[in-house]
Order: sequence, then C-alpha cells, then structure tokens
Amino acid sequence: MDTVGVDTGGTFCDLVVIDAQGQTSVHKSPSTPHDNAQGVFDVLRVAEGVRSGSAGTFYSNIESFSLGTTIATNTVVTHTGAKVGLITTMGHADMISIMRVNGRVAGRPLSEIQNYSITSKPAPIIPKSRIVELNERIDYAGDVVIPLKDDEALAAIARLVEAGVESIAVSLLWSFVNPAHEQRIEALIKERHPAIFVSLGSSLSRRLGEYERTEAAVINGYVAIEVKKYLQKVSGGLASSGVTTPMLVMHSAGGVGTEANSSKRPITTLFSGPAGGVVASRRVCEAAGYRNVVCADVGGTTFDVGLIVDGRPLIRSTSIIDQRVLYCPTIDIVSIGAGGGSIAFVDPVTRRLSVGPQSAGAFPGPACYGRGGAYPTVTDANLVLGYMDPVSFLGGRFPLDRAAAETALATHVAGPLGISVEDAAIGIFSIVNAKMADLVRKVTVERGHDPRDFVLCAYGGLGPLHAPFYASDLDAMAVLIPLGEISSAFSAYGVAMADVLHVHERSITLREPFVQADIRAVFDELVDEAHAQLQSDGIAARDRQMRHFVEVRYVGQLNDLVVEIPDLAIGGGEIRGMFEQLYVEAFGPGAAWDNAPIEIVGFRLEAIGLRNKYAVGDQPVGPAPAPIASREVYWPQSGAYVATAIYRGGEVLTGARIEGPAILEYSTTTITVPPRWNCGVDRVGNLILKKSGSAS
Amino acid sequence: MSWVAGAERYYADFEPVIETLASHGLSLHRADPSTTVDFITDEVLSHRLWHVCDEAGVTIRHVSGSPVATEANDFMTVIASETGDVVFMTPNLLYQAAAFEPMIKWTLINRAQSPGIDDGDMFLCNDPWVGAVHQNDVAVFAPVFHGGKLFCWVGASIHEVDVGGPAPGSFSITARDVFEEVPPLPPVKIVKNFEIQSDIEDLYTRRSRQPLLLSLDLRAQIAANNVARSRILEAIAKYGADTVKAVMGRVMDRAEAQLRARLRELPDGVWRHVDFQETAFAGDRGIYAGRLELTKAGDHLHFDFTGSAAQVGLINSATSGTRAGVLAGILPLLVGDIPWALGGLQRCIEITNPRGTMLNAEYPAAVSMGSITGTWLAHNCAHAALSKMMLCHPEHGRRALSGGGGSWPAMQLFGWDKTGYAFVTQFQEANLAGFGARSFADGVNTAGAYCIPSARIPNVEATEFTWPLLVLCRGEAIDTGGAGKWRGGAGGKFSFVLHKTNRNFTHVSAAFHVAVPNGGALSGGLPGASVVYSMQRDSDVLARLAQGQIPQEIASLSGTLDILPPKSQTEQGRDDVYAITFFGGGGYGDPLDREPESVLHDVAEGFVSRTEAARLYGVVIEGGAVDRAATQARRTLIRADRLGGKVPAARRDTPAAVPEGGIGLNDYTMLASRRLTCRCCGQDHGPASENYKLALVMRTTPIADLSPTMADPADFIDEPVEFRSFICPGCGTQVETEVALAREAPLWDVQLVH
Repeated sequence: MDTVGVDTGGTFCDLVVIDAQGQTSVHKSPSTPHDNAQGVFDVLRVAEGVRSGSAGTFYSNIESFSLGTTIATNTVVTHTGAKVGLITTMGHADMISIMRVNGRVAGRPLSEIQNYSITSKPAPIIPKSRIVELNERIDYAGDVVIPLKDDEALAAIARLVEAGVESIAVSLLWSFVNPAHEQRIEALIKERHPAIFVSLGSSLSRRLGEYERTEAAVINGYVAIEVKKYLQKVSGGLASSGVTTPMLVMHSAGGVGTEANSSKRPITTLFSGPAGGVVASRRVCEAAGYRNVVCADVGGTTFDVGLIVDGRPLIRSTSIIDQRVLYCPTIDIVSIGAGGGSIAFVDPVTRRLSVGPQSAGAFPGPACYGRGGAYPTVTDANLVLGYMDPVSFLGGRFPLDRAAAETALATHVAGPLGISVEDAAIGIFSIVNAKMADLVRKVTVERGHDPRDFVLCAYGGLGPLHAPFYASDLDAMAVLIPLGEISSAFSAYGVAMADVLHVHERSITLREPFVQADIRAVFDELVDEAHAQLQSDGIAARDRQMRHFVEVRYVGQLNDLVVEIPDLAIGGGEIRGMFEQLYVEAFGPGAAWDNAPIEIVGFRLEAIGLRNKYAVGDQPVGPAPAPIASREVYWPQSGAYVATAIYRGGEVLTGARIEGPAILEYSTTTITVPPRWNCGVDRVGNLILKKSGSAS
Repeated sequence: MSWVAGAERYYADFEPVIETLASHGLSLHRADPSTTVDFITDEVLSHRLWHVCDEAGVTIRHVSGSPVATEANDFMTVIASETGDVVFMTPNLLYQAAAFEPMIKWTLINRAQSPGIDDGDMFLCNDPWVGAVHQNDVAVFAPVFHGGKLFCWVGASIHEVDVGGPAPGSFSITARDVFEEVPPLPPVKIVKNFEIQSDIEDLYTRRSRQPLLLSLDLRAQIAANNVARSRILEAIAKYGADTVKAVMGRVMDRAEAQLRARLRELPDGVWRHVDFQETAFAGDRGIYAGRLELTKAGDHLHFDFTGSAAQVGLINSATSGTRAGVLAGILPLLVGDIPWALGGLQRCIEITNPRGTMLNAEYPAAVSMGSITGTWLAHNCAHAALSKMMLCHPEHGRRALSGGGGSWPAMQLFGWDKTGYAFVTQFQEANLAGFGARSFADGVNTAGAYCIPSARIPNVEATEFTWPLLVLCRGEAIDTGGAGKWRGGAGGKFSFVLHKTNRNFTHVSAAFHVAVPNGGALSGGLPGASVVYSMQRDSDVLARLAQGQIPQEIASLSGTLDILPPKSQTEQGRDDVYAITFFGGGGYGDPLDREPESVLHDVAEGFVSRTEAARLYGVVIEGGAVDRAATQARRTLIRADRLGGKVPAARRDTPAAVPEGGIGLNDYTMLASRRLTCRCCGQDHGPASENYKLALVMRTTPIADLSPTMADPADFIDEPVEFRSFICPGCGTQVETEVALAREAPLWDVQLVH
C-alpha cells in the first residue's frame, strides 16, 4: 500500500510515493496555472505510468493521499476570491482598510520600506459598501455593554444578501472572550441563507487583536469557494480513478486535515507548500538523529528558512499575505529574494556588485536557459563555475547555454568591473552564499539560538549546491541533503508524511504568582476542543498527542516568549525558571530583570493526530560508487579550478563515502562536496556532508 | 548667546581632536588607507554589518516594554565610526538616527579624561544641546574596543513616554524654559565594565512617573548594544579590524557617491518653503514661521533656515533637532533606494541655521517637545522643498510626495489603570495620518507619519485591555484627504469614553497645523485636512449606550462641544467624549483634472462627500453615476470663475511634452528658452529670472472654507493667514497653492538656474 503526497508549486507539480517499506519515488510534471487540478491529475498519470508494473493497481494501492496546494494563496494574490461581506462592531468597519497603519509595508522588503513613493496598501477585497456595523458591544472582560439586537443583525444580513455576497465574515470586538454575539449572527444567517459561507472571527482565532482576527475571517470567506471547488474537483477525480481513501489537505501549521475541515477553514491551507518542506525535514532529521535543524529551501526566486528546535518546528500565530496580517498558525518560515534566478548587477555609480532581490523568474529565467534572459543570474554563475553540467540538467531534457551565461556575465558584471568572467561568477556565487548565511544567522539568532548547534537540511532544486558553502560560514554541525533525489521534491514528501495537527489558542492573562489550577483549567478547555476536532478527523484516541505552551513576558512588555510546559503538574515557579532561561539565551545576561513580575498572556495547545505507519525506510548498503567523469570546477576553498570527480547521484548509496572535491549529479539537483569536505550516506539514504576532520 | 554662563560647553559642534584623546589615554582605531578590500568581501561584510544593526533593532522590539518602541517603532539602532559618523541605521524613527553623531563626538571630547571611555562602558544621554532631539529620546551608546583601541560605537535610543518633569508625558505646554521641564541628562556612564551602575540608573529613573518602564527599556538598549558589539567583534575576528573598518568607510563613500550622482542629474536651482507653528505655549495666539531656502548646485545641497522665527515658548529645537528633520526629509524621498549611511550622505549636505531661533534655540529654551515642534517643522520644510526639486526631473519626480501629517498630534493621557496605579500613555493613533499624493497615484490612506517608515498602531482591543477606555470609533474620516488630480490619503478619526472607572483622566494635547493647514501640496493640489481635537462635555453618551446605540458623531450628542486649542491640558470625566480627527495628506495636481470615475469611487467609499465632489472636483453625480456632460460644464464654469468670469482658453487633455533642454517644474509649468509656460494652454508665465507666481492669477480662500472640518484660524491665532491658489491666466488651471501670512508676498518656491 502506498502513501502519496502531491505539492503544486509555481513551476512543477511534484508527487512522492512512499511504499509500505518506506521506499520512495519522485515524479514531476509542469504546473497548470489555468486549471490547478489538472496538474495534479497530470502528475498522477506520470507516476502511474512509471509505477504500474501491473496495470490498474496504482490508484487502488493508494492508502493515503495528501495534497499541498497554493489555491488559497493564489486566490488572494490574484484577487479572484468570493464576493464577501463583513459584519462588525459599530465604529470599527475601517480596521481592515486602516490595517493598523502598517499595511502599507507589512511583509515588504527593506528596499521598499525605505522608498516611500513606491509603497501602497493592497487594493481592498471588501468595498466599504459591503461592510455593515452593528450597535453591539462586549468589553475586555467579556461583559455585554450593548446587547446584540436580532432585528438589526437581520437587516445587516439582508443588506449584504441584496448586495449579492457569497460569503459573510462576522468579526466583532472581544469575540475571542465572549463569542455569543458572533454565534448568534451565524445562526441567523444559517437559518435564512444556508448556502452562504460564514466565517466567524472567534472560530478562527481566540487571540486578542481584532484586526488580525477580522482579516482571518475575511480571507477565510474570500478563499472559501475557490478552495472548496478545487478540493472537490481533485477528490472527485481521485475517486473516479479508483482511489478509495479520503483525501487529506496540507495546512500551514504543518499538519494535514480532512477535506471537510479544510473547506470549512480554508485559510489553514495558505502556505501549505513551504510547510511541507519543514515537516519532511523534521521526519528525516529525526530518523537521522538530529533534533535541531535549519530547514533551507533554495528555489528559483527565494531562499526560505525554517527552524526545528528540539524536534519541533517553530509555529507562529500570524501570517502575512498580500500585506495583510492575519491570525493563522503557520510554520515560521522567513524568505528573502535569493535563488537561482536572482539577478546580479553592478551599480553604475559605485561599481558595487549586488545579487537579487530582483529575479529573472521562471520566464525568461537565467541567461543560460536560452529563452531571452539577458541578465546574469546565480544559476549562470553556477554554470560557469562548473557546478552544473550544461548537458545533463533535468536529465538532459533541458540543455543549458554556457555561452549565453558568459555573455551575460561579461556584459553586465565583468565588463563594468574590469574583471574576468570567472571572477564575476565567483563574486556572484560568494555574495549569494553570504546572503544565505546572513539569513540563516538572523533566523536562528533572533529566535535565541546558535547556528552552531544546528544541522542544515538543504533541499529545493539549488539547496544542496549552495549549502556547504554557506554552512562553513555558519559553522553548522553538518549539511544534510535529505534522501538524495527526493530533496528536490521535498515538500511533496512532507505533505505525504505529515500528521494531523491543530493549534488551539487562547489569549488569557495570568499574573504571578501563578496558580496551577488556573493554568490547568485553560488547558482542560483547549484539550476538550482538541479532542473534538481530532475525533472529527477520525483520529483514534491512542494516536493523539498534546503539547502545551504558554506565552510569557515581563509585566509591561509587549512581546513574549513561548515556553513549553512539559508537565501540567509543574508549579508557577518553574514557569518563571524556564522563562528566564529562554530569556537569557535570547537576549544575553545583561537583559534579565530579577525583580520584575512576569505574566502569562496566552495559551497554546498543539494537538497532533499521528497517522504515519511507516518509518523512513532503511536502504541497503550499496557498492562503492565510481566517478563517471571529471571536469574543471572552481572551488573557493582552493581559490582555483580543480579537476573534480563527477558522480551519478543514483549510484551514491548507503555506506558510500566520498572525499571532496566532488560533484554528485541527479536529474533534478546537484550536490557539491568541496575540498576538505566529505560526504557519507546514512542508512536511510541521506547525504551527510561534513568538513573532513570534524567529529562525525 | 545663552544667558546661562557655562552653557556653551554643551553645544555639540566641535570635532574631537585625536591627539587630545590620546593624551587622555584613549586611542582610536583609525582607517588604514592602504587597506585593500576585494569587491566580494566588501559586499559580504556590508550586508553582514547591516544585519548586525538590524538585529540590535529586533532586540529592542523584543525586550522593550514601551508600545511607543515596539508598536510605533519610535526607536533607533546605529553603528557609528570611532568618531561618531553613522554608518548603519535601521528604518525606525528617523530623527533619532541623527542624534548619535553629535552625542558621540561630545562624549569623546568631554568624557575621555573623566570618567574615561573604556571597554565595557555605555553612556546614556537625552540632552538636546548635546544631540538628543528632545529629552524623551533617550540614547544609550557604547564604544566597541578591539586590541585596546576604540574601534567604533554602537547605539540604541528609545522614545520614552515619561522621563519626568512637571507634566505627564514630559511635554510641558506651559514651560517658559528648560527649568520648567525635565532637566536634560548629558552623557553619563550608565554601564561601567559591563555592569549597570545602579546609582546612575536610579538618578535616571527616579524622576519619571514610570520608573519601571524606563528600567525595562534601559535593559532593552543594553541588550541591543551587547548584541551589536559582540557581532562586530566576531566580524573583526574573522576579517580583521582594518578590513571591517575599510568596509565601513566604503559604505559611507558609496552612499555619498550615489547621492552626488543623483544630485548631478537634477537641475540646479533654489527651492523655498515656509511652514508655520502656532501657539508657542498654552494660551498663546501667535504664529511663527520657519523658512527654508534649499540651494542645489552640482552635487551639493545647502539648507538655509536663516530668517526663521526667534525662539519662543516651548516650540523649539536645538540645532541637532533641525538637522534630524532635514535628514529625515532626505532619506525616504531622495535616497529611498540608496543605503542610509548618514556619515557619507551628509558630506553632500550643508545646513545654515543661525542660533537663537526656534530651529536652533539657545540654552535654556524649552525644548522638551522638540521632535514634534522644531524638528517636525524643519522636516516639513525639507520635505516640501526636496519634493519640488525632484519634480523638476521626469524620473525622480516620481519620488515626490505632497505634504503628509503636518505635525504629530500628541495625545498624552494620564490616568489610573485597572490595578490602581497611575499610568501615562501616548496614543499611537497619531499615526492615522494620510500620506501625500504622488505625481502618479493617490496618497495612501491612514498611512503614518513621514518620520517612521514602518509605523504600526495597536489594536483597539490591546488599548482597551490595558486602560479603562471604551473606543466608540476608530476609522477613516471623510473629506480629509487633500483634493487633487491625485487625492491625498485620508486621515483617521478616533473617539472614546472612560469605562469601568470612577476617576477623571487628564489629557495633554500638543500639535501644530491645528489653526492653519500644512502647505506643501504639489502641482496645484490642496492641503489635507488639519487635526481637530475635541471634547463633547456633559453629554448623554452613557444614556445613549444604555439605549443600545454607539454614537459615532459627537454632534449627535447633547452637551457642549469644546474644540481644544493647539496646546491644551484638560480633564475627561465619565460623561465626556474625547474625539479627534487626524491629518489628511496633501493632493497632487488641480482637482479638476481628477478622473470623475475616481471621484465617484471616493464618494462610494466614503472618502469624499457629494458636496465636496461637486465643490472641489466639479464632479456631478446623478443616480450613482457620473453625469459627464454636467461635470464637464461645471469644471469649465469653475475655471472661468477662477479667472473672474473670463472664458478659459482651450486646454490640452495631457500636458505638453517638455522640449529638449527644457525643464518641467510639475504637471503644469515648464521652463524652456528662459521662459516659463503653461503646459496645458501654452500661456506665458514670465521669465525664469522672476517669480512666476506674480504672472499668475492669485486667488485667496478663507482657510475655514478649505474643508468641512477645517477650523477658522481666528479661533486660535491673531495674525491673518491665507490660502492662495495660483491660476494660469490662460486656461484657468490651478498651477500651484500655498499657505501664507496675509502680509507676505507670494513665495518664489521654485527658482531654476537656467
């Protein structure tokens, strides 16, 4: 029986099949932006063609099918969602256009934040005419200041229905403390207009912050219809192909959910692809014995970094999409514009060489793609330096044009700087690696960790190529290329392997001294909520795991640290101890504040439904690989081009050990082993790169 | 000259003398000119050091307890050279970046001998004459030593809501001099040999109404400096001190070179702007002009504030504050795409700022509100003059913005929190200002203050959780965005009552451009609406709430309306409603040139009322659609009216192209063959050697008629002030606008060398 994961990306639709022995295979087909479901069916057919030794069993063999999708993200970014109306508290309709003022620059890079005239808020997705305010009010304590009046609510609903809304978001002030008014309005809508999709702020988040909660309700309502249609189409297609297992959908927090739950809370499917990579990293690195992992994904335009700390991916409560900030628990991933397509340019005044964030994108792409790209990119530099083979790229289906790369480098970098084309390529390569190192350092250090305690899990098409170079800058423990070839479709692997995960939160403030029963009472409520949710996912009680966290800060502070409570029986003093330890790790010994009281401002429960039957499969020990060729490759460690052994990636199997310099070529990715580095393959097929002489 | 003997020592306009420092046992690490850096190391290290500075900023945001720092980003982190030139800064409160250079230089000169400057020390300073923008901006800066030499400085400053003094929030609206506000602290050694000096900490925090918050923020600043220091030392260990120093130098050199190149692309000329502050202290009815003449010659900018009003009341800045305002004007406009290495950029800039004015006040003038008085006014002037300068270049004109929030409407609230302790807060809602319109797009609604690139206001729920308030309304206000071909961004509105408390609360308000609008609207646009502070007293608000209504307009309540003057202190009781409307951004271009469909959309979205759509934009809306014929007729009528009934000349739909060698000043005026002409009808606007405004039809409008919420200046000030529009005598196009003292001639705002 097979476990299947599909991830639909911008360029390719990736599919990974994991069989009962934990053996994996990867399949790709081009994405189909005009009809997203088609890409899924296409890649299924590709996989079927490859795998069906005995025809007709591919679909019926699928025991588990999980889907990572960009449909919700695309719907928001392209402004093609449902006609949504919003019902909110009198006096606060404009919160979604004010966007806490920060909407002008939220999530934008520094280059835009510093340049006022190019910044704007995103176009509104709800015109003010489709927002209705009600004379109702609840205060901070949950007390009703002004009761909701049914007739006023009904009039509001009628007005929105008349305006033709397909979906209504209801988000009132303080609904996370007292959701009664929101729930009453939902009931009134359902009674009269059962077909209208309703999102309640209080159902999506129980956190303080009306803007982010309302944005969640609005975006949820906005993407609902597209997401539902798409999921129905895919699941319908699967069923008619003979797949009998219900489809699961990847969520941004790193778990999967049922189709029904995902359709009801479609915002949970935002950012599901990148989350897949982190989930996969966790499984693979755990099997390899690593608890602290930097997950580093290099694609065509961006470099994405996530963290796994003590075996658990970091999750944050807010997400940003299209400059809108919303409450939606998401795996904490940070991106910069540094990928294969990042363009290098020389400032005409200062003659400074910069790389990115501008990207040549998928089209025309790097100059060496020969599709009219005139500007030199990171991929062009990689080619000139010998890391990539112009002939074998994508299994030889897509030859690269080295001359075009050289021309672009000569025209735009080497010429203006008065240096050789090779030196220009070395410059681009070194600068992009340094940017990657800087981002990894930023992500680890800002979250209170030391990159030297982490292994770097590198995936995505170009991840394995660059990783050893910036890893040495960071003194990371090792570079792990997960499962060889699978690393290029690693998100799909993560989608396939993901457990069910739901995040339940409450904004409730408790001050020192903490009373254990108070903490317990909040978690009891969250645990009840979690069990009900996991029940509806069909997760048996024995497969449920709960992890408890509190958000803690010094009284008076506005930012908090997330502290895990391993055992609900612990006392308040221990919470303080754990908080102070984290605090000092994060901000240094000078920052601690002995006399100040602390407070808990939030509670979080991560509820996991285990559903993976298979461990990552052991691989047989293979014969020692032999190089298939040799070519001149530039190694910064040697400062020169060096004759370098080239291996076929598929021949480098468990037990192998290769001394650098060497290059391992796969059809979809390239692994570099620099001089004085070595590469081993562990029992499950991960390639582990270390500096020679470092502890193994 | 100051009347306080001995005050001269605190003016930070001296360069430290290296030899003198050496005689005090302080040796500086100087750049070695023979150091070569390859281009890769250069780029890699530049990027890394910037990250170090950013990481220090993130640390402040994590550790600080101040909503002003963590939400509004009213803080700054920098890395400066050994002599204080700022190499890296973060995109937080721009004014605070400029303060470090003078403070560090002063410290070198005055602290090297005693108490000494050593590894592990940090200095705290909030003295405006030494460099702080005002006393609330508290800087903590640390020398970074390598090999026994002072290699560079790192610094972190935070706007503290209350540092003491007679008034809650430390803004004293009645102060006659600095002795009636919180006394400034010149640089004191707050950390010695890596240990906080508790006596100095107590000296600093004891005076505040919120000592715990100051202590917490002090730790945030120390943590930020520690982070930056250790990361710089890591870089030195890896690359060598000379290389790191050389890269810091090159970062500044590059920024300078890029700015010089940009300036050479712009035409030479003189740009002038006059901006006004009213009400120098509570009860005052004066208006005070700040005057800027910006000369751009080749690759050099000269800002000359000669002629600005004498120092008065509490609306003053020390010279460091004015310099901060000028730099804040330059950064996000002129060099928005160039690294913000102040130490390099300012080599292209000269500032003339005579002593004794409200922009360079002598000790002991009252300066506690410097950031929102003199500094802000200097920023308004620099912003307007630079925008008009950039409009004279077809590409850089896209960087220009009409004037935005004319001031920071301070809303200090002093009251009692739910635990029974007193609190002071400064509402960040002041960021609900609209941005000015651009030459190609509308201004952004409720977009923030120009001195904060990335401001954020708290959620209403966060406000109500912390303080006993019930917010009736927080929204975007109609008819606040300045009219124009491109509309200025709408400002916000905010109103609240006290909730679940029996005590009265005290408000301290301080702003300017309450009585007169913020000029600086470009190319004939109208100014945005001004801020309006009000209190509806003894109203029936509680009864209305009990009846199930949440009143949105204070006019609908009983009681008496109290429009608060520009500087006021007042109480709010349980029956009083506090309500404020914020600045709109200025418009760009003649409002009659706005697409009628855009006006219709603004009416539908509640940004423009139907009345104003007809009055200002000439757009007639019938049955939810634009009546195009009636609109066309109305617009022609308005143009004729501007010309005193004369039939306007035929007008091109799009402005005429600027001929080779000519210069477009904006959408409507161009310079060619030494004469200015109208780009819409070809009408001659006189020779370039004269003030073109004198060749135009000048019309004056009472300021109260500018927008429905605009106050009558006579309510607050005595001197007559006019709003003027300058009309092309040919086609009736509104070419330019200005806000001016009635007794003064039209300002020659753009004088090109040709």
